[in-house]
Amino acid sequence: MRYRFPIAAAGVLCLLLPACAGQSTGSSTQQSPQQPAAGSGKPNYGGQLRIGAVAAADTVFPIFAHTQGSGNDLGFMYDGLVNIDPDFNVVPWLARSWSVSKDGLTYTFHLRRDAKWSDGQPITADDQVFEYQLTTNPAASAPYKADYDGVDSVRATDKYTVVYHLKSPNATFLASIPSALPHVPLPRHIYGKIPPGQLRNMDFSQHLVVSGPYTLKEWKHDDHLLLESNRGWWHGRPYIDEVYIKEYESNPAALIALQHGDVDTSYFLSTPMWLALKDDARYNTIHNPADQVNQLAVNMKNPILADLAVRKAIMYAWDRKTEAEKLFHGEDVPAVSPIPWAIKWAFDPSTENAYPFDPGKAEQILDADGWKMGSDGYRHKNGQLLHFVNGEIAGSEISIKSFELFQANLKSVGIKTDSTSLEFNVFYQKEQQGQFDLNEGGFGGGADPDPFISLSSKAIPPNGLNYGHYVDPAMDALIDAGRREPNQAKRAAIYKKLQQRFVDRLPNLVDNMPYYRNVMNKRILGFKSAQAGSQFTSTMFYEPEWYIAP
Amino acid sequence: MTTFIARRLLGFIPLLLGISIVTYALISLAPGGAAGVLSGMSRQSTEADRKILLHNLGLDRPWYVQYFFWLKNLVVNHSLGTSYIDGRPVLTKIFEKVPVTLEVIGLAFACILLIAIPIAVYAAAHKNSLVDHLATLVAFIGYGAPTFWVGIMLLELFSVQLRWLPAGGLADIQSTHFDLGERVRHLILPVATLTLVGMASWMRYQRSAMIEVLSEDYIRTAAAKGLSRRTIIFKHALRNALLPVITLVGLFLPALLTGAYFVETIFTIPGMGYLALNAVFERDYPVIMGTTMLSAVFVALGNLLADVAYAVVDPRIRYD
Repeated sequence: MRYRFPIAAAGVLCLLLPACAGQSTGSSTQQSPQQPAAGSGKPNYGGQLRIGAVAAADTVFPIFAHTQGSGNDLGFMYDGLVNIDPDFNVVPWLARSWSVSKDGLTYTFHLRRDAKWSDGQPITADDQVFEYQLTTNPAASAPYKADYDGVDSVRATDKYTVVYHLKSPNATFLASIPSALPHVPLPRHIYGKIPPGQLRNMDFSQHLVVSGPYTLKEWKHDDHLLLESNRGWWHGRPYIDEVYIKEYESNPAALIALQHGDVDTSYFLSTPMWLALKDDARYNTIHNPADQVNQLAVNMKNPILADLAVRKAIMYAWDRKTEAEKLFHGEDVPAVSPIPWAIKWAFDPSTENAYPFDPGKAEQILDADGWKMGSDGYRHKNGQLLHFVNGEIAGSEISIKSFELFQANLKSVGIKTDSTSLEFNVFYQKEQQGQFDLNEGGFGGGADPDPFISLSSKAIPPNGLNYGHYVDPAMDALIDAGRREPNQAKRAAIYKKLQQRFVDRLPNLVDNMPYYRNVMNKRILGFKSAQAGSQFTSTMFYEPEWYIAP
Repeated sequence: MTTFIARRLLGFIPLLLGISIVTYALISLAPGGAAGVLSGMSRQSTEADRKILLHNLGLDRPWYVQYFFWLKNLVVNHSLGTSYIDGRPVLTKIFEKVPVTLEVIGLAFACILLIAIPIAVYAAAHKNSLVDHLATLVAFIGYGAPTFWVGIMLLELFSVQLRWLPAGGLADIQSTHFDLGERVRHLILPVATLTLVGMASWMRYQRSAMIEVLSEDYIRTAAAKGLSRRTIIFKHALRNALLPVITLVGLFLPALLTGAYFVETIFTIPGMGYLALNAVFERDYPVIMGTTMLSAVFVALGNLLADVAYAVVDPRIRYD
């Protein structure tokens, strides 16, 4: 079986988020302390990097990319106005500088004048405007149209200046829209003449014009993409001449390819894949805090779960530390925060100690709340059984084991839980409709810690990922304040308060803060690993500087 | 015979029409629609945006209206539509994959016949011998073991542990042009998987058909006439024993096609199975319809082939 959405199968709903595909300048990056740089000799040109991908590229035209597979592939081919470095800082890229108006509404980007499309034409401000116009044109059916809902206009004031005007101040804007895919400049001189409604059916596999370090040489659908270094790239010729992206149907097939040595690395490694490879002498390992939060969304429409005492009892009864030890080798951090621990400036470390495993306390809380233990081993109140159904995506071994531990923990304090495993699309639909009491899932994958999408009352499905239908005006106010505040230190203070409220109110039951894990064949040198990240291109820095051992 | 074939081919039309209606209804009414996939589970995607996506694809109409336009497009334009996911014509996508699947199935089928029939004949002629028992054992293992399990075990042994054979695909990653030897090496494991699983049933059927024929009076007569055992088995018994087994072809091809879907997934072979499976995960309705209809045609043709083969092998059977 192939997981079309490998990330989702792991319980995280980060697909093609703009920052997922961020790249860095490399020169401004710092090495992660636990990840020394691979290779220190003199780089040489040539060779082929081989990547295994468990998700076929559906398109090579950014605005239509709606899977992580496409997002990773496109990361090699397209540049954004700005970029995200391994420390989650926004750094200049196609734009050499930018300024923000005092009211926080206007962002002005000044583009480099030496950047060219792969056909030799200059990359101009109008190419970014073209992307905006295409994405927001309903006829184009671009999946990420809504990203621009907060943007009033995008204009080119001269050949190399592009101005974004926002509807309201948004501190997350830089890290979420112009930072990279899918909102990158597109060549108007090539695609501007085609009606937007027809673009989707175009064959882009021939003569694709791109802005990034690699160009498309060959694309055999559902089999492979072959990329070739863009010698005219503004940043300089990449060392590795070719990138071969081999598509595999399933995680086991990709794992076998890695074990067999067919590929050097993979876009995605599940925990079992990582365990099978981490001691393989042929590979360097990559191991970073992920910019994700794994949690169980709580359905607040269920009156029992709407009772804060019950949510607190569940957290105390849930041995998340043992779960991390048994399933994730003691690495994943059982913090209780909506902000990924990887985003260090915003994460409050005190949340790591919230709700330690204490089944006695859980029982006290439930007793005080009127839930009495029955002869069946479960608690009851007013004739009602303390029982929940958890929804999960079928096919994930880790999810199943994780739920079994959760179920056993809760049973010991008299809470009955059942699980329903569903195919991804069905799970997604039922999740949108709020049909589960609890449902596994996560979020993250961005360089910005803004938790709007999972906590705001404005983000209740279908308008966001607030699956629990959590409505809390005080939380909304903190989220909005964090979004408006441009100063990072002041934002951090707001987020500290927000995390405290999260611990107090438990809108979601956070399981853990995971690690991102991958391997890279030792023949690939010069790559650096980000301090954090959850996607291939946001974690493995920086492709044009990689080289192959002579 | 020609009339028979023509009549059967005409009969395909209502059959395929029925299958297409049921399939379209099933995929349209199944939970988990196309909108979620199409919007890429975009974090910000609103209901209004999703409605636009569905409207642009005509998915905001009732399923039977969608089906009518699908059918009209097929009849008038001879087109199966375009994929929702990459916008490419479904027929192009299918024609890219069909040769690959046919290659795998064809080779596996040839191997099954070449291996299973001689073993079955030998086992029947030497009933209760060591070979017969061994063949029975292998057949039961083949019956019991699922295709995907056999495939993964072969991969683990020959590809990961021994490193004798490639782990998947149809060519080495670094190869730049077609190479027959390379292709053969890549096909050994997938074809072996289908052969091991497929020959089990084939061997059992052929063996019992052969044993039945060998106990017939005319075989005893032939032996009494003093014919050699070789002549009796190959000239008199096998020809008759093949007859019931040939009808299996029609039933066996769909099973082989299903097996090929698994094998393509395990060995990363970009064939029909790969295409169909992904289409289901992606709720790519036009591709699901295209691959289902092609499979239906394949099964119907398999049955027709069995009937025709029956008449060819047994002169007593006349369809006119």
